[in-house]
Amino acid sequence: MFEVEDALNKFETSILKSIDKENMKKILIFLKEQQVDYIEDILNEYIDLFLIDYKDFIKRIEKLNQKYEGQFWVKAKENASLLEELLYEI
Amino acid sequence: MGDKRIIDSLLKDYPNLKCNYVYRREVLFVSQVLSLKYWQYEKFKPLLTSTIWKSNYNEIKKILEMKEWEEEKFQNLLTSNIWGRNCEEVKKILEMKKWQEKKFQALLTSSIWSCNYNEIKKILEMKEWEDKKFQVLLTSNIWNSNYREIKNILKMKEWKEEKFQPLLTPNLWSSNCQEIKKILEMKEWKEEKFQVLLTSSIWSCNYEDIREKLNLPYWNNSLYRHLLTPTIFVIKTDYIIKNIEIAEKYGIEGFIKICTLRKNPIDFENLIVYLLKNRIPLILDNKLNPILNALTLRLKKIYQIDLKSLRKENTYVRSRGCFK
Repeated sequence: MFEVEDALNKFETSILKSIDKENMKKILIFLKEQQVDYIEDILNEYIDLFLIDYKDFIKRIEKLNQKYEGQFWVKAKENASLLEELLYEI
Repeated sequence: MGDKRIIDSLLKDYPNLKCNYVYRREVLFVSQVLSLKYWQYEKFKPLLTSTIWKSNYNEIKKILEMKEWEEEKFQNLLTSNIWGRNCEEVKKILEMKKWQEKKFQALLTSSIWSCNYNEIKKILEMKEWEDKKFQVLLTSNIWNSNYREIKNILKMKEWKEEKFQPLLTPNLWSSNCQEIKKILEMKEWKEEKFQVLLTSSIWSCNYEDIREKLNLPYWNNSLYRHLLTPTIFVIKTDYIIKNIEIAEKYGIEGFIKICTLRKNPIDFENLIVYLLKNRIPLILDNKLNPILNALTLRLKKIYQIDLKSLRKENTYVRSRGCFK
């Protein structure tokens, strides 16, 4: 479940206000299509992922899937720090 | 003035339509809106939200009747923020010739309803969009801003400097010219350790937050230097400080990662206490035990740890700094 109070305590208000609903919707649909089964965790801990413009998000996933042999989402589930790579192209 | 009881009974099957504002409207208006046949159609259902009460019956009906909604290319525009516009303006916006130009097509999303026709026209007609470096900014986030701000932002001389060009991303529109200038002029960017933070994610933060975070004492300690990533702008300072303090309290500060800072400090400490109580090492193979950075789903499925239960069962006596 998405923990609203936690999110308000954790993330800067300016971050939460900056999330574009339409962009977030597209990314959520994409995550479901990719069969990511930890979307709630992403919302609770990595809501800033939704700040990435959708088209840019797809490009970053393609790059990361090349790096992780198509297993980015599986590996990120085991090691959450990989989600930082999605955010900041570390 | 609407009769609250009658309006409540009209809305008994529509709890999401209740708001303070609806009680200021006439009962007849509420009844007429709810009776519109359009709500049977899937494509119009997202429009039936409490924002509808700010419009009037004739405008609502005229907007719903528009032939444009039969075209698939306009259906993603059917969201409840449309009620901030009248039918004539909605039509004028949809008929704008600029939507035929490829570079502007991504802008035609429901976010556009936050702007009026004249503003949209002025923005789309800006000569600046002929400059390729600014075309990357043409996304629907632009409707969060306004013509004057957009013009002032694009005029900034900083965009001529190579080090600032990667910051030209659509997130810019969440900020304003004054704030952007203050941020780019910060003397902290001259320090090598902070340059890695100069990414487009800073536009979601304000100047004060950025200053506060860059001046946390931890960044002078090489132990924490690896935590200097743009994530620090996303998480509240309070969380950053608490999680580092918890790590220091249990002697694991040299092992925490940036994702550790995203943990709720209560859950982070509860997990540490759980591991200690069950004689599970906090450090494994010279790394933080993966349990401490695991996502909630993984904690439950792989490690059978439920953070909510830990919070309830916790017998850690915080005030005495010890646990039972």
